[in-house]
Amino acid sequence: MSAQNRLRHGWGWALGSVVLVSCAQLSLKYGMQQLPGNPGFSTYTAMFEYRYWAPVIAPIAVGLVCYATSVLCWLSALARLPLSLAYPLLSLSYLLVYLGAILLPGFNETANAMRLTGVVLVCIGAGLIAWPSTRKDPENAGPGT
Amino acid sequence: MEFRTHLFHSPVSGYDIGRCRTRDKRYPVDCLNMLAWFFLLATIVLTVSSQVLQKQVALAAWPVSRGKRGRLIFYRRQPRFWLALLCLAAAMMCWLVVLDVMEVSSAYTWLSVNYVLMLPISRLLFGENIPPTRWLGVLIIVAGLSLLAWS
Repeated sequence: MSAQNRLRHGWGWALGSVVLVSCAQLSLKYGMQQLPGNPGFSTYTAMFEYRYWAPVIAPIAVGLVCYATSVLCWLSALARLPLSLAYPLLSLSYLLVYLGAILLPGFNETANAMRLTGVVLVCIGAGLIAWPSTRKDPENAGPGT
Repeated sequence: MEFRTHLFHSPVSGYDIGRCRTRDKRYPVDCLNMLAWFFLLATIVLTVSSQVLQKQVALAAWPVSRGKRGRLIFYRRQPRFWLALLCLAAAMMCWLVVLDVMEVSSAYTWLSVNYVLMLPISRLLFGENIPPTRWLGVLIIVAGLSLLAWS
């Protein structure tokens, strides 16, 4: 694989990792939204059955699997991209989660211009923190480097 | 900021701000809002301490590292390594409670307080020197979060 090709694949893996992290958050939220109502006395025994909790547990399990997969994607992204290019990309997930919660059906969260501005600012700030410093400071990485 | 104000879903969906409704009893105090902030704070503190513990273990592993396998064996013997994992698990529990009560679009953004806390901690605890662009990043995050709190 040519070096350029490798870099391009790296972007794909990094983007996949960001999307998976956002999906994980959204499906965790979706799972918690499915928490059943306060059951009356007649359904008391149902609380001890898996079927009762399945709508909650399944999306949460999906979210955790998404997390694990995103870590794997991240590792293959890092094998192809320098960390300084990949790391600021992670802050995109703030924007993705916000847009997902507003646009996807089933979340019903309200759009708000001020809040969107806040999320974009947080994205920029987190990206800036992840951006590499121009100075080399090897003592930051710990002994041995 | 909108919260779900009862722990269990009532047939009527939607958010009810300003009252705390638990199991069809109304309380004058906004206790579930406070609950949401408490668990959000707990999530942030737990993830930050997990990061700090992981960094301490990683630093301790450097002088004894003999390849990937040797380092894994070293990690396994460190109580701080297990404590870090425990912190992560506890943080996930707290995060689920936050997600139950709070909207995900704002709750997830509030997690960026992590960055704000981590910068002074890495300076004080690990003596790292922080370039000015990172402090600028923290300022921008704080500005974004205050917009979020205001809305």
